[in-house]
Amino acid sequence: MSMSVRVVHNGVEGLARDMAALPARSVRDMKAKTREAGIVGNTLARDYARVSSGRHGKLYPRAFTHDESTYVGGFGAAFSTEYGPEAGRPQGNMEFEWGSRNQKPHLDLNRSADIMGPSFAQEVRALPDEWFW
Amino acid sequence: MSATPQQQFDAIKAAIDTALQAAPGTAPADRKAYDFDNVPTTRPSAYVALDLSRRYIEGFRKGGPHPSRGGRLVTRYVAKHIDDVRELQRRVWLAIEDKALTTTDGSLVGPFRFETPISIDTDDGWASGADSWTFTNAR
Repeated sequence: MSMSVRVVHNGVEGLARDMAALPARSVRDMKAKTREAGIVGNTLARDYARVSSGRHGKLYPRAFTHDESTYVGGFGAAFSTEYGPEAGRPQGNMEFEWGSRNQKPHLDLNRSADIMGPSFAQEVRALPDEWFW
Repeated sequence: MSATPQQQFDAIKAAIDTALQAAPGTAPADRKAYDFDNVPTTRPSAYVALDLSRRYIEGFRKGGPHPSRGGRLVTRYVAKHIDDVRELQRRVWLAIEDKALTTTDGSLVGPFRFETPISIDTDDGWASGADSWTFTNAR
């Protein structure tokens, strides 16, 4: 009978290695997660808009776009994503989101954000676990 | 106890109606809130249109699922004159902001938290703006 034991040694060197990689990795991961959130949120909002826009707003869902920006500098880092109808596109400036005097609020972006807000927060909270695995 | 969506709507409408008609002020007694789809065809010279919907909320608490349902209310102020729009707005704020309202079955709807302002625009001789509110205990 033979027996082998494999010892995995997680020492300070491992931690040091993870931490050295952290600045680059965290920026890359945060940027990717933020971008993903913009894409998913925009898709969701556009799908809602497709249902709610109706005959007079046929082009409105196609005006939905997303855009990301990243700042990494001396004061820290900021990652942001923005999505919704782009005013420059056909029907992109229709007053559908909050409605108007003659138009009920459609809340396409709001319904999307209600879902994306908590799930984006959860994704971001999960990142540090991956960094130190 | 849990009120129906209709009972909740009625409670919100009643609170806003009361505020719209309350003295002191210049508001005539016929100023009212209506469901968005239920504004009289001959539009009153000043009124509030309501849109009530449920809203997805995540289980924010670690201890388990969130005990309440979320809701969103959009109050749209419409009037011939922009000053009246601001007066409607002021009265609606007084009526619902951070308040929980009692429905006819004794349960609460609210409190209503201010979410977003939608600025006042004029078109076709009408002025109109809106506010959106989120609340809990929606049905």
